[in-house]
Amino acid sequence: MKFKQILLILFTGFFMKIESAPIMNENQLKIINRKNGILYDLNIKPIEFRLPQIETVRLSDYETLYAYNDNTLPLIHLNLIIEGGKLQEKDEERGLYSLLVDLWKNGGANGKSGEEINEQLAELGVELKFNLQQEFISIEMYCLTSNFREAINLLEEILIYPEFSENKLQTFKLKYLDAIKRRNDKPETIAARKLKEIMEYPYQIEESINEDDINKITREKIIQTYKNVLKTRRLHISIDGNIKEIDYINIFSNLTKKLETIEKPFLVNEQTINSLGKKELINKIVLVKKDIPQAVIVMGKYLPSYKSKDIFPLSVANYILGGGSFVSKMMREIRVNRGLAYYAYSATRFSAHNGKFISSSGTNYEQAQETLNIMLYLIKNFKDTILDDDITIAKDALINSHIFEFSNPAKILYLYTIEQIYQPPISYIENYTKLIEQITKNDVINTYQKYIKGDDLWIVIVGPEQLLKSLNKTGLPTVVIEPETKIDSIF
Amino acid sequence: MKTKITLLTLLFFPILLKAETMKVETIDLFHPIKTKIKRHILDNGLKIIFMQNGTTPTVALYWKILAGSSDETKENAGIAHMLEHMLFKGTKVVGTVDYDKEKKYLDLLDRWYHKLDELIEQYNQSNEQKKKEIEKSIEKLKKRIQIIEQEVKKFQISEEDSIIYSIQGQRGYNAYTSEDVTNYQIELPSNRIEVWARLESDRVKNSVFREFYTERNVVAEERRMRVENNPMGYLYEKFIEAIYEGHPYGYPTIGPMENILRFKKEQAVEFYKNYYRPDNTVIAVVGNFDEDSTLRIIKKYFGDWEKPNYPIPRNKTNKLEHKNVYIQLEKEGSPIQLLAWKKPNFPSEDSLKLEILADILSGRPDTRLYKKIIDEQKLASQISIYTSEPGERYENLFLFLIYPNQSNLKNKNDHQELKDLYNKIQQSILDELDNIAQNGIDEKELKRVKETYLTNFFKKMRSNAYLADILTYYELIYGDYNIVFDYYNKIEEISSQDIQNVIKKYLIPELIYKAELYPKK
Repeated sequence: MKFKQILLILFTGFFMKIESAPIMNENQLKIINRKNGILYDLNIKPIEFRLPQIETVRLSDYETLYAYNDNTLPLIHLNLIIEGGKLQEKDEERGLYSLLVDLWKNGGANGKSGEEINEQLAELGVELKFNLQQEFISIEMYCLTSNFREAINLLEEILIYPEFSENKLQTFKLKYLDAIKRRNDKPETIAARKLKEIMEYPYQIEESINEDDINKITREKIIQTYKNVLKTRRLHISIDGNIKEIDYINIFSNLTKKLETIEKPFLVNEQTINSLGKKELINKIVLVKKDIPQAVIVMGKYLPSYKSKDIFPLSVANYILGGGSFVSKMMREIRVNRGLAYYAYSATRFSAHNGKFISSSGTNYEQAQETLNIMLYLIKNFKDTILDDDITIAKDALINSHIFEFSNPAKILYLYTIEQIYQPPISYIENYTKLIEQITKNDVINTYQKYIKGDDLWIVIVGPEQLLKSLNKTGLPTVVIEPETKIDSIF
Repeated sequence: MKTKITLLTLLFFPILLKAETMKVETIDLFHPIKTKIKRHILDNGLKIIFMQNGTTPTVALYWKILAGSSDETKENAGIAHMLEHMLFKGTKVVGTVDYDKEKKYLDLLDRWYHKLDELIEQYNQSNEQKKKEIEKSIEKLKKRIQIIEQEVKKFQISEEDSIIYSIQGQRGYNAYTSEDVTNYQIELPSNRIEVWARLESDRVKNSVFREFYTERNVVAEERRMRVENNPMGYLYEKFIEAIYEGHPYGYPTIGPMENILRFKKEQAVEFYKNYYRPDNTVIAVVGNFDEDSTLRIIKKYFGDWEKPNYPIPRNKTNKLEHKNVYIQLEKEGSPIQLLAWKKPNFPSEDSLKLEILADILSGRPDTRLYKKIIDEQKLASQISIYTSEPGERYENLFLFLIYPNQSNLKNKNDHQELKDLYNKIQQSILDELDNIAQNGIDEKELKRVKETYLTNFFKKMRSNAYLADILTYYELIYGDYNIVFDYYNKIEEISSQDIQNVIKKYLIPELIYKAELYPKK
């Protein structure tokens, strides 16, 4: 261990100055398009591509079917998205919706045990997955075209007559309890969880539930929740693949009529993000103790929801800052120029109820302070380091890669479904290129500064306690906690 | 490839079947897909596979080299992976504004970094007094290096390849190194294929390995992330090292830390010259693209890639001798159990039978071990089986990864209690294997494996990237991509007796390898 430490000090010592401005090549495009450059004489013909035609059928006021025929393979993909998800879950019932979706699929149906159902699904080669998201539950199925009718019959039994077996509930509870015991094994998982706890405060997050929370979830509560999910549903059904010979409108029209009657559909609303998060921890470092050689740094901040057009200049800004992999400033400064880390990135996520900015890196704990300083420097000084070329590169990258959103039938329908759930002011799918093209450097700077300042972040570092000494040099107050320390017990 | 008509075939391809039944009695289930694939071989031995897929004008462009960590020696373990990193550091044209001027500084850096490595070595072997003297020399040298590194930057365009590809709209620009192969990948809009051909042909012929010494630290961080910070990664590395000691699979792909921090550029250059050659490479282009113009482009840029007149060096391998391997590792983290048996590698018939056995045992809720050990006995919360670890070029493993269910433990620090739990899980697995060996499996279980395999395969085939990856992989390792399609057809021929036989032949209780993680007290 001593050997390694000495080596790293020797190798990185002369890079320690972080006060100097990050190095970026001026006029990158001019250099890249230079006369002796590799692409100088290459002409690229424009690509011909039209948005795919999606068939949309309203099955009822709150139920829509989207279909896209693609005969390439003898396969059908189905996705039933029920709006609601974890957002419907009460704070004191965390874990309830996860158990609901696990038990819905595996807890038996229509007089058959979970084992029988799973065996029948496998005999038909059906892949069936129930996924829980913040804003919806998705029930996704892949099956061979030849088995579609039988698969749908089986799915209907699961959807309409689930049995939520008590024995299976106990099995899943044990699995959840084991997962709780394993949640502090990986520093990346701890870092993400603690940041989420801080950002979602005062609400509890599912990743932090304990044994008592699990034990108080009953079968009766799950059944009641199942009924509520269906009664409050806004349902989006998408079907794609080899569906030419399938009478999907009739099939799903009949299926939806058999489900519980809709009473009051759930609607995802934007959150008042100013009320979320532990304010006392802003611009402070929370050091989560773990005896590991590589520290993990994460930081976060709220952004507007998908409904705001600000997400476009923010996406361009993120690409330049840390979202564009090796093209981004974070990766270049932290990995390429200084060799401090294997990864360093920022990311933006926008959903119907809010948006988030996240940034992260992992580095030998002795270099954690240096890496953190560079990350904060780049975030705070974004305005001063941005070049015209950065804007051009980011916009070209986002526009030219947009075609990949349409490279798979399942992805195409998912895009359309999400747009229906998130309800942006105009269709982002149809106007994406235009929305990115019109963004100026000023738009990027102004919008970035409106939401991200650098001294308004929540910062979590997972690493050994020895880090505290060097972190104190950052000038930011540091709070040291254990992985299981409750956020409300800090301050 | 021809096999008998199945009910499945009748249902999937009625039109095709109609035509075929008039001519022959047999049909290949994947025939309609295979017709979309073409293989071309250039004069220099470079193999190119084209496959038409999807309707969106995008392509996945993959190229693979038959060289990985199993082509290394103990001294240069990790160099295949280090080289993969270096291939993103530009060429004589990409990443520089004037290579001739830059090269003088790069050569100087090589000399001084060698000197620095030597001094550090001396430092570590010296007494305290001597260390102080060496420290001064190290400081002096570091300052010199710092000055040169600032100078050389003036000629460099860092990450020029990444910038070029980003502007073109790339997705998934990346690479990976395994025990068997090194892979370089990207997805681009179909009108950018020539951009790819220019950059990649230049990469295979003219890479110059700039920023080598900074990158050693990046790889060290990668190792910390994947192995030293990760209990599972650490246990797995120790397990494989013990089983494959003295075998090409015995070196961890990322390399040991002491190698990573000492790599010399010459080691990477030597590996590059030995293995990065057209007759050791397969390219795949999968997606919606024009084949004629793409072939012309590839010939234009890769046709002059010279095939060396010396043979490709390969490590000699002896048959893996059995020895007792039982690792009990105390480390911070939750319990993890690894169990393994040696087995023949794909495409041997026995390997295929063992793969089917793995699908009967785990991977879905309807499988035997899931129902028995997770659902009924509640001894574990997860059981997975891997059949191609550590690689597929040499004898490999039938490997179980198990997460014991800690609800069975009263005291997490009681190692004896945990050991008992590990033993119970192992015994339960052995009992189930014995049960199958004695009583066999029914047709329904085989049907489940077949049907789920087919759905999964078609699902994955929606991805150009997946197809490009497997086509290059199977063409490179086995000399024929068709092997991936033959797999399904072969399942049809496997009987319960075949499964019983491979259990008796390979999964012998006395020959088991074991590794267990005990949480640090």
